[in-house]
Amino acid sequence: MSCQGFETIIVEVARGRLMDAATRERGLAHAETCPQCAALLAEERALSGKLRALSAAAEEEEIPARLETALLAAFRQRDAAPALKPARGVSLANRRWLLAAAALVLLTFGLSLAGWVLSSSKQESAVANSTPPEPVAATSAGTPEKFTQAKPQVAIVTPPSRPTPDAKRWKRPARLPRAGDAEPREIVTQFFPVIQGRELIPLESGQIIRVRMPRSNLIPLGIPYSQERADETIRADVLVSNDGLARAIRLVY
Amino acid sequence: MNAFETYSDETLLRLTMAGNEEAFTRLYQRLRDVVYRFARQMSGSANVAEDVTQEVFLILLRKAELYDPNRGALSTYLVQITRNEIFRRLGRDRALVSLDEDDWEEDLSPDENLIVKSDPLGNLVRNEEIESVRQAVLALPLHYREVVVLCDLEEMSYTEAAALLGCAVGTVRSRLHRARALLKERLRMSETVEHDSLRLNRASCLG
Repeated sequence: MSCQGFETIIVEVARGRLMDAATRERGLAHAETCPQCAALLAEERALSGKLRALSAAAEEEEIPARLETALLAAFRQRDAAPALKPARGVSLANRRWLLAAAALVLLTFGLSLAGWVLSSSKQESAVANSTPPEPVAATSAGTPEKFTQAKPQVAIVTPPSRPTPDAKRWKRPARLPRAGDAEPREIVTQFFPVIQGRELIPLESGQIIRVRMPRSNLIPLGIPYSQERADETIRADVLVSNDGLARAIRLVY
Repeated sequence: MNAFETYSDETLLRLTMAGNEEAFTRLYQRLRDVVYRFARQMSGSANVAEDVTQEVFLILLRKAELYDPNRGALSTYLVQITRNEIFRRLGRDRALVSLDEDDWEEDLSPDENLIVKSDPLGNLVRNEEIESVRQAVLALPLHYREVVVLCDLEEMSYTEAAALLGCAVGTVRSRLHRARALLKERLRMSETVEHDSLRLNRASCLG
């Protein structure tokens, strides 16, 4: 084996990871006869040894137990929220019926919507034909006259690529709700009391307000957080009692 | 033996999705090490590793249905999420920097902002040599650092690392060769600096 050939396999030889035993033997035989390659191999082996020591040191590191506690709390919250529970107890046959019913509803709704759009367009064109032609309406890039008549100035100065808000409203009917439109799943922690050691009126009712606040605000509440993310914000639900006091807070992920 | 210990990761995940707390606990205990260690080695910070580990398992809870067993082991999937989280945190400031191999070939001084220094207390306690190796690994550009972490520190095969990183085995191999060359260079430099400072200290003591 040449020095060049040895250089291509030197890392694998040093790491002891070369699969082909014959190539490895040839490489080692070369290193025995070539002092430069032997020195390079010694360097690579030394590096592998240092990296192994680093790896061993990392394995000794303990993962904080609070991490498991926090995750279990999040898991319980998730399980307690009915919306997040997976559908259970629905047989395959029932599911098929449900899917078929949902498809039928969507189809009916879609057809009704299409019919409504068509009938509305006819009504509009009927209105347009019954009124005297306006030059502005004719040049307004297909914007229905009903709207351009109300704002002829706007229709003239607005470039065709940027339709007026009214035109936008007309052209884009409300999108049908889709399965993916649902709020993304979120996980909340337990509520942490905000006020402690004070005589408070027992909480009978209150309001939960969703806020976004800096992570550093968690310090006075005694909630652990990573200092490196102090400048980031976090979502939280604040439980405000009827007397206007913030009673408790929970974090939302 | 507890029945949960015999279950595969996929089974535990399925049970977790069905609301089984013990399954989730087992799954976490089984996979936390690989997630935490990868995050720790990539970031150099125990705080970041802790944060990222928490985030990764929360993502798993929220989006467990996105995992496809046909595309690889659950542990690989979690390390991929971990990698994304790490890149999001460490690499967000250089989103427009090219990751082309050639662009980094001669780069021996990567952006210092991307190096997360270890905690000072840790530096005191840990072996000096290990610490210098850690710093040298942390000084590597991210795409070199990750192959060192996966192949040399986590002892993955080139094939496993390639599957995880979504690149060719040859790319992993060449990146590892280059990364090790950079590591040797950096360690040599730090040894020289240490040697020089020792000599200076001795000289000032004698003089």
